[in-house]
Amino acid sequence: MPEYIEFEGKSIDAAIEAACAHFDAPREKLEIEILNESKSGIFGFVGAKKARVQARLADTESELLGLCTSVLTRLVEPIIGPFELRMEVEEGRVRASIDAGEAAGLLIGREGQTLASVQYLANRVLAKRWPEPVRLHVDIGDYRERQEDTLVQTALDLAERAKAQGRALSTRPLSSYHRRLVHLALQADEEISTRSKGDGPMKRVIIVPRNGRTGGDGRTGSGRSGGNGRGGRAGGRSGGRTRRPRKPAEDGRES
Amino acid sequence: MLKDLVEYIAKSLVDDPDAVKVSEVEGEQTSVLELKVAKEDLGKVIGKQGRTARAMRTILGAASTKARKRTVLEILE
Repeated sequence: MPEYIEFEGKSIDAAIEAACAHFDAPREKLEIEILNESKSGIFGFVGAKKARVQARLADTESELLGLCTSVLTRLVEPIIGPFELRMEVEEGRVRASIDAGEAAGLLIGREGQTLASVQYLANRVLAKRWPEPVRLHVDIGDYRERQEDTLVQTALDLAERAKAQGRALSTRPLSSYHRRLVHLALQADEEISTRSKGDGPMKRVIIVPRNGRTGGDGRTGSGRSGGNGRGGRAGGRSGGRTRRPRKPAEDGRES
Repeated sequence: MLKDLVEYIAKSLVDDPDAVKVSEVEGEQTSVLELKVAKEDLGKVIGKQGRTARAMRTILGAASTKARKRTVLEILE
């Protein structure tokens, strides 16, 4: 913590103004303690005393980290017991990394649900307890990084298949953040466009070949039969009309 | 303890923390945590499309794995 510096003025307000000028910071960014108020003395000068305050720049960063630590501890410790936590702050965003050791699987949960819940609730609590908007990002080891890499790879694969088959394909239901990753990953590809579809918190991303028909019955010129290894089941040979009910491309689970 | 966990989360989310009450009904294999909050705060612990309630239940589920006892959360109106 930085040291306090003292300031004087005719009134408390004047002293605080001097402090703000010194630190070149608004009043909210300062921690201010009043040492004594001004006294006007007899005739306004004999025995008059100036107001004195001491001030320093508030260390909001460590305060914020303290809050994040306590919130995460309260939420995570009941699940995995004591754990190690590393945190860093960047522009309105706190990144926390939990070292859960062998309990990582438990804390991540099925399809990352537990981790997502911890992050969501921690953010709700922060929104209530921290005056400024702040976003807390929680990771366990490099779990999210790996998950995101896999997701981007899946998106690229789906795009290739959509182009090869000339029809629209969709991802599994994804959170808004993950949908964004898919949109961004495919933005540069001019042969396809992406949009979100569905309702509620978990929508899917639809990947549509630009020249193909979106309803897609695979009969556009380029889509001629199973040359692409993966979509092998597309039934391209059978003359077309007897397509079996189409499964959503990646996996059919409903959210 | 799981009751404390629910109480902590609920109190951190509502406008009226004093009105938050959690009671535990213990069964043999399952115990039920009953959460009561001020009427105005009901939406805060349930969340948009039940998201907050679902997140609390998910965390509770994971924590009860550690406690080796199935625990369910009921939000009372």
